[in-house]
Amino acid sequence: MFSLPNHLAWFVLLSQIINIALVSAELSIWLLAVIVISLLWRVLIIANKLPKARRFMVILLAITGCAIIAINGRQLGLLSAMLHLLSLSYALKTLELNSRKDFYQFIVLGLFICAGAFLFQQSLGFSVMVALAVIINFAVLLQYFSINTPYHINVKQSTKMLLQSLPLAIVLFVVFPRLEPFWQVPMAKSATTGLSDNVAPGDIANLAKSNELAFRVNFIGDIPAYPQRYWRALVMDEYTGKQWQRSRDKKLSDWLDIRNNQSFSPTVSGPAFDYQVIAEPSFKRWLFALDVAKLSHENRSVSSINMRPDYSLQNKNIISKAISYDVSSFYTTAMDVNLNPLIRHRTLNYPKGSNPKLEQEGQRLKQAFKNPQAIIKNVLARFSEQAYYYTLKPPLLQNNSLDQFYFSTKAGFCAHYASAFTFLMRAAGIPARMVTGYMGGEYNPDGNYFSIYQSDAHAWSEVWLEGKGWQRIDPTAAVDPLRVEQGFSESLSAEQNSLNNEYFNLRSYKSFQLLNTLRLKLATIDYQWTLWVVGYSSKKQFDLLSSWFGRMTSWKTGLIMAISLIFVMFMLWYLQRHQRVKHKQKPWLNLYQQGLALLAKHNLHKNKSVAVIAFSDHVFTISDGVLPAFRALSRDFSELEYRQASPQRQKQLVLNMQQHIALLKTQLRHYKAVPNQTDRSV
Amino acid sequence: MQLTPTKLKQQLEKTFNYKMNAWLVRRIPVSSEHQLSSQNIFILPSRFGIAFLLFILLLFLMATNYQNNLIMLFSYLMASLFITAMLKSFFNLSGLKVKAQSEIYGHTDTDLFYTISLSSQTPRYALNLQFDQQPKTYIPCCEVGTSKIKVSFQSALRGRYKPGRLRISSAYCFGLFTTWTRLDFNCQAIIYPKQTIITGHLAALSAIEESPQVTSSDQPGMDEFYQLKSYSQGEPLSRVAWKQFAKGQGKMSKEYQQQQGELRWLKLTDMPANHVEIKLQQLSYLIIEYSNMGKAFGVDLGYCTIAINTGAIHKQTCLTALADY
Repeated sequence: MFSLPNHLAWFVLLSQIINIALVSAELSIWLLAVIVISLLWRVLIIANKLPKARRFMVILLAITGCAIIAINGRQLGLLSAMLHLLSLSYALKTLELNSRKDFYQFIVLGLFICAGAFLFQQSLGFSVMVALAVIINFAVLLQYFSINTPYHINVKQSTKMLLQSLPLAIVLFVVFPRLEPFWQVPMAKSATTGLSDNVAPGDIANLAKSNELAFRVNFIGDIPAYPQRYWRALVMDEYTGKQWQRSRDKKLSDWLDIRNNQSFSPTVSGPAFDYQVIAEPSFKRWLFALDVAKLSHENRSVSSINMRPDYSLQNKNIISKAISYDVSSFYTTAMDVNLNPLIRHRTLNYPKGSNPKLEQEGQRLKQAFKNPQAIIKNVLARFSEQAYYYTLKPPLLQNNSLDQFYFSTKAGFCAHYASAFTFLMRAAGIPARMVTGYMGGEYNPDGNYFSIYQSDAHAWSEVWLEGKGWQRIDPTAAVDPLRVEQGFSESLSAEQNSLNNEYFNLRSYKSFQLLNTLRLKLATIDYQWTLWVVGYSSKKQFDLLSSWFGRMTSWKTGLIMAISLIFVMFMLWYLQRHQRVKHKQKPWLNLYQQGLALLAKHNLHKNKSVAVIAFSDHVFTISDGVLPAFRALSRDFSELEYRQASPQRQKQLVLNMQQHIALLKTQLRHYKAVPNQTDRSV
Repeated sequence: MQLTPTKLKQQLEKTFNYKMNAWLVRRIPVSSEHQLSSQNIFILPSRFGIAFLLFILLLFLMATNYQNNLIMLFSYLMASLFITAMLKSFFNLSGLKVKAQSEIYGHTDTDLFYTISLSSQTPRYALNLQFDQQPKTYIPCCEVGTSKIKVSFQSALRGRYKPGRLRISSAYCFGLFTTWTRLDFNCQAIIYPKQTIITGHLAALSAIEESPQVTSSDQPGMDEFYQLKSYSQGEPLSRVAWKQFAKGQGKMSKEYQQQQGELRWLKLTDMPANHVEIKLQQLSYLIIEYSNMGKAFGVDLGYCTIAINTGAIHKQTCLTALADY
C-alpha cells in the first residue's frame, strides 16, 4: 500500500508551490484561485483536519477548472490554455496521490512545468530559479526512496547528481545537431513589453518609468556617438486625430511589388556601423536598428526578419525568446530620395478639423516661408525659445489635443513634441511621419556592449526633403538638448525615480560605485548567457565546432558524444569509489591503523590473525615497556570496536586515541628498532 | 495434443525459465556468501524509467519546435541524469556482502524467517528482499556495518524445500531503474506438518502399548515422584526442583517413576483420523506437547522408527521425519 509519510507530504507540497510559482505570472487569477484552493485543501489533509479527498470532489474541481479554461480559451491562446490545463492537473494531482504511479506522474508533471516555464522567460536569473526548483523536485523523489534521510542531505544529493549530469548535458547541447522545427506550434502570448503599435502623446512617458531591458547591442569596430544612436523600431504614418499608427492597407506593398516574404532591400553605400543586436522577448514583432540598416544575409536566423518599406525591421513571428541578428547601418545613405506618390499622399494626410489651430499655424508657416527647411527651423526655434518644458509628468491633454499642448500647456515628453511637430509639418505641406524607437543606450565596459532599456524609449519625427529624402528631426533636441546628447538630465532622472514603481532596481542606485559595478558585472553575465545559451543557434554551433574540430561531419559528432559519455561514466565511477573509501572507515579504525603504520616503520608488523590485545601485549613486552601509548591505544580501540559504547563515551575514546597516537610518535623516537625482523613480527 | 495459445505461452515460459535458470547457475553459482558486483547485478529501466525517456523525448520535441535552447538544455540534462541515476542505482547494490542461514525449520502456514546478514561500507537504500513467490521484506535503509534481516518464507505443504534464489532489488535512487540480483545460498527449509490438537485423552493413546487395562484416570502429570537427581543442561525447566534450589541445595531435577518404567511410542497408525496428513499433523502436535512436558517418547511411522529419547534434538529429528514422510 502506498502512503506518503507526513514529512514527505510537506516536502511534496513545498516543491509544488515552487513549481507553480515559476509559471504563476502566466496564469490567470481565477486559475491561481483554483490552485490555491486545492493546495489549501491538501494542507488540511496533511494536517489531519480533513479526511482524504473524495474522488468525485476532485473530479468536480477538475471539471470546473476545465470549463473555465474552455470559456477563456480564445482569449488565452492555445499555448497558454495548455499551460493552464497542465497547472490545473498538477494542482489536483496532489489530492490524488494514492499509488506510486500517481507519485511518479506528479513528479513528471512538476518537471514539465519547470521546463515549460522557459517558454515564457529565459533570463539567467529565471534559469537559476528553475534549476533550484528542479533540484527540489528530484530531492522529493529521492526522499521517497530514502525516507529516513534528512531533507538537506537529499537536497545535497540531488544537487550533486544534477551537477554530475551537467557536463554531458553541456556536451550534448554544444555538439548535438540542431534540428529545424518539425511542425508549427502555438506561440507564447505573454504580456507585451515595450513600445506599442500606436502612440498617443503621453505613451512614451509611461514607458520611461520601466527599467526593463529592451535589447543589447554589440558593436564591431566603430561605435556611433550618443546623438547618433537613434534606434528605429516603428514608423507611424497615419494620424487618427488622437494617436499615431501604422497605416493598415496592403496597397503600398503591392505597389512596391514586395511580396510578403520578400524583404525590402534599399541600395546602400558609404561607411557603416557593424553590430549585433540581441533583442529581449517583447512578445511583439518589431526589431531595432540604426538607419539605414542592412541585414547581413549570411546569418541564417535573419531569414525570419524582414525590412519594411519604411526602413524598419520586423520579425515574422512574435518574439517570445531572445533573438540575435547582425546588422550594418550605412549612416550616410539617404532614405527614399524619390518619394513614392502613395507614401507622399499618406504622409501629408491628416484628419481635417482635429487640431484647427495647428492647421491654421501650418497654413501660416507655409505662407510665411517658401522653403521647408526654414519652416522646420522656425518651429524648432519656437520650442527652444518659448517656455516649453520637457517633463515626464505633463499635464493631461483633453482628447489628446495637440492644439492644447502646442499653444497652452507647453509641457510634455518626446511623444508630445514629435506628435505636434509632425502634425504641423503635414499642415504646412511637408511630408512627415512619426518614428518611435529607442535613443542612446548604456555602455557596459565589462562586456563591451550597450544595453538599451525601456526607459530609453523615444519618439521623433521624420520629414521628407527634396533631394535629401527622409530626414530625422528630433524636436526634443530643441527643448532639452541634453536628452539627445547624453540621456536623461538630473531633473528628469529624479522624476523618473519618483515615478518608478519597481521596488528593487539596481539601476536606481547608479550613484553608488560599488553597487553599480556589481550591477554591470551581473548584466555582463546575463549578456553572455543570452548570447551563448539562449541565443545558441545552428550557425553559432557550426562556427564554434568548425573552429575547434575542423569541418564537422556526423561521425565526428558521434565520436565526441561517445567519448564524453565514456569519460563522464568513468568520472562518476571514480568519484563513487573515492567516496566509498572515504565513507568506509570508522574514525577509530583509522586511528588504530595509523598506530599500526607507525609501528610498521619500526619493523613491528601485526598479522591479521593476531588479536588486538595480544598484539599490544606482544609489543609491550618486546619493546620493554617503552611504548605504553600503543597499549592504551589498543585498549581504547578494542572497547570501541567490540563493545557498544555510548556516543559520548565514543567521542571521549576517539579523543583519547588521538592523544595516544601523538604520544606514540614521541615514544617511538626513543625506541630502537631491532634489525632482526622475524623476531619482531608475530 | 492441441496447442492453445495459453499452453503455448506456458510452454514458452517454462522453456524460458529453464534456460534462464541454467544461465543463472552459470552466472551466479551457489555460495554461502555473495558479494554483489557487476558479475551478479542486473539493471534495467523500470516502467517509470521508460516513461521518463518518453518525457525527455517530448521535451526535445518541444524544444526543437519552439527552437528554445533552455528547454533543449533541460532535456539533455534529464537524459544525462538518466545515466547518472543508472550508475547510482548500480552503486546502491554493488559491494554489498550477503550471507544467509543455511537451514530453517517450522510448521506449515506459519511465517518462517531466513536470517540474511548484509554487510556494507556505505548506506544502502530501499532494498527489497524476497524468495521466489514469497512475501517481500522492505528495508528503507541498510546502515553501514552488518545488519541482520529477516526474510519470510511460507509453505502450505510439509516437506523439505529449497526456497530457491533470494532476490534483492532496489528502485533507488529515483525509481528510474530496477537493480536486482538473484543469489543462490543453497539453503533449505524443513517444513513440519502443522499441529492439529487431538481431543480426548492423550494418555489413552499413549498407554495402549504398555497396559491396555490402565484406567482413564491415569493421566500424565499425575505420575508419582521418584527421585531427585542433579540437573543436567537441556532438561525442561518444569522439572527443576525449585524448592530445593531455593534452599540452596543446587539445581536438582525431579524424576518421575512413570517415565522410567513406561515407554511411550507415538504411532502414526494410532492417530484418530482418516487422512494420513491429518494423522501426521496430530503426531506433530503430540511430539511438541510431549517435548514441552519433557517426556521421553519414540516415534513409529511404520516404515521407520525413532528410538525413545528426550530433548530438543530428538524433537527436531522426529519432526523432520514427519516432514519427510
